[in-house]
Amino acid sequence: MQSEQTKPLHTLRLRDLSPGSCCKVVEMGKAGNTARLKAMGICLGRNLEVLKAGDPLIVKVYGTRIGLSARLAEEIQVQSCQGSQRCWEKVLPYG
Amino acid sequence: MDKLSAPFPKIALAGNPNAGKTTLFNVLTGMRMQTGNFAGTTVTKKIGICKLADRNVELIDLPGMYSLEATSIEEKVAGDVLMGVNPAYPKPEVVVAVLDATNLERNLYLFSQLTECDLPVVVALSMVDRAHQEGLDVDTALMESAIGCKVIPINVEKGQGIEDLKAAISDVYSWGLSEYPRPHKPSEDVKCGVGCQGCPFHGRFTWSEQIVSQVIKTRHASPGRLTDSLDEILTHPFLGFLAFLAVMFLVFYAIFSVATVPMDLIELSFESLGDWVANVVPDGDFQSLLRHGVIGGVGGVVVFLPQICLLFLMLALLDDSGYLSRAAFVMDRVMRRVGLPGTAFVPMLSGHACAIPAIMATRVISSPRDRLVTILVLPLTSCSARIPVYVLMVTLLFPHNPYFAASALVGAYMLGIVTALTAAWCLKKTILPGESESLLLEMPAYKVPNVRNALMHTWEKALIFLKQAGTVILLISIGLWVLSTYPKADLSPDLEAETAEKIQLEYSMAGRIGKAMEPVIRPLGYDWQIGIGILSSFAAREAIISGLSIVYGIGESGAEDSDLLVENLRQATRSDGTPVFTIATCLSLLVFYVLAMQCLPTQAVTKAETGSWKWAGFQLLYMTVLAYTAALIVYQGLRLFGVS
Repeated sequence: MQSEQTKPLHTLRLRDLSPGSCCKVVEMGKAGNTARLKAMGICLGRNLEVLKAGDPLIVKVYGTRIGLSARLAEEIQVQSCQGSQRCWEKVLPYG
Repeated sequence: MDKLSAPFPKIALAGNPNAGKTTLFNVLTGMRMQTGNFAGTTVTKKIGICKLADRNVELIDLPGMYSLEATSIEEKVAGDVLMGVNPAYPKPEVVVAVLDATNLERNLYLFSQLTECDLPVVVALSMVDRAHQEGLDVDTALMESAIGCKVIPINVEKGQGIEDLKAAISDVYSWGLSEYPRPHKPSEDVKCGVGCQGCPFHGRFTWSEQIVSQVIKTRHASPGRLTDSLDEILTHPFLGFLAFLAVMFLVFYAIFSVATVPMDLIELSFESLGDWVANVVPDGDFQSLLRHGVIGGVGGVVVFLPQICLLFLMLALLDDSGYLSRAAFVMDRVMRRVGLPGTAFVPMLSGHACAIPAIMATRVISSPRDRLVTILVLPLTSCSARIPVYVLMVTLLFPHNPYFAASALVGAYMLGIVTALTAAWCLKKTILPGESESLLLEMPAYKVPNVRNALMHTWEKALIFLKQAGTVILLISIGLWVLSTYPKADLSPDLEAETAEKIQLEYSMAGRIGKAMEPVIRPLGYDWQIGIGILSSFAAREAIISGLSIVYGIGESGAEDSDLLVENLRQATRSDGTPVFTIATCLSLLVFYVLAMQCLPTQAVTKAETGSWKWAGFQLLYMTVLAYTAALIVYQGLRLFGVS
């Protein structure tokens, strides 16, 4: 919780996002100790879309869905993506 | 070194879980495969021979992995093989990387690590058709030049690309292993190794995003609409739970209805085998050993094979369809409260068919603590071997009231489930403290399951179970046969067969142990005859029935006539003339059979999976104490209220 002081004010916990919101991971917190989480694509700088809020919750990262418990999600700090564009659309350019 | 000079060149199949690796493996190798474990682990090793145009190669199906960083036992094993440091398996010569086109960014993350193993790599690009439906078309030519290796799009269901893939592997050998160009490695700053300030995963993902932005050309549709709408229901806290119950009901309905036909057939064939032995082998101990020890003992366990196969078949189909991860997601809410992970529900479920495959199925649980807790409480779920005992007791209790009888049966099942969850909670509070591991699992898109894969999977599981039956279970059956056969009573030849059997069993070691046990089991309402029945249950629980029919003097064949057995048991009396099977005794025995650890084959599997007899011993101890205490409370409590 101490690390909260160093973060910009507009970061949110992944756990607190509502379904449909897109975000970018800015800090992993204690969840950063879970290498599996990062190897599955939930790591610093990745774009996520929350598909289902609650505990456990479902996020979409790249082409897949990951179910994770709120215990992990409340460690992860994110920034909301701008505008109405969905995050996976920003990852890939149009042909 | 002689392992390295084995007859066929070795090729490893590597990829993310759910990337379609196993389907590809099955198609490349056909039925020519062997399964086993990697030495010193419980990780399944699958090896098969693949016929190329000019040579045969040995294909190894590595466990699915997200990275080479070893975040699970499976990944450790797979990584060690790829880096050539697994003593049980030599470094492969070629890697076939299976990459899922619908999720290329994350799959390329693993690929970026594979490029560092200094091995020739051929990419099999799977799920291309699905990616196309989602509006993603991969330009394979561009991809080849971007990552510096051959990319073969495959569609296993339609058989597309398989021959091309084989040709590409042959091509590696035509070039020569050391001459074949290696894939491009991401540059050093991308790898961002030890001491790097940022996230070491960040660079690789950025690299793979760059590759994908070059090679994926179109994007016109929104992916996964169907999966999203199904998930609305199936992962809903309430509706999802109802859906889970409905699916499980169907699974068990199928197990207990469809399986009866092959089970009757197996029972019949073991019986005829026994009769055949009786005709061919002269009377005497050897014939008895073959009939009762070997055929009877093994047959008593193998009879559950159809149920086990059906269970595994349906679980494999559900898994492949994508539903199982949703079930784990929904169940995590419930299981976590008692210190079990959501992934423990499949083993707990399988435990209702047979604890042996269920304990083996705990391998899906990644945390060692969670896995141990699951193994320890699993045998409390009511396995099929208890059903004959439940039915017998319930029939004795409520012979004329099917409604009460059914309720008592359901009650026995519920008691097992509730006790298993409570026991897990107690373990969490005492000797195995800690939270269950946080849920973290991929929820793949729904698809029509591949029946061929599921059948192969079932076949593998069936073989493992039969191997158990042929070794451990056989030994245990023979041991118990010795206990009930020796020492020999001095029988006069003109005794009736039933009486002779009865006297012999009383006189045997089993009989003596049963009598010695009587003071201990007396407070539960049991006499020494029931003690012998409980002892014989250690081979397989349903053996109490043939045990009881012998000690109550209707002979072993009497066990097959259930009406006769129930009638005889009802009329059985103690030395003081009071009936043995009173309501209190029957209920106490029912509770005892729900809770007691009376299955040596299960104990052997617990030992194998936990690596020590210590946990098998603990399991036996706590379950026996639990069963004894509960049966004591039931019997004495009922007597206190005047029910005898």
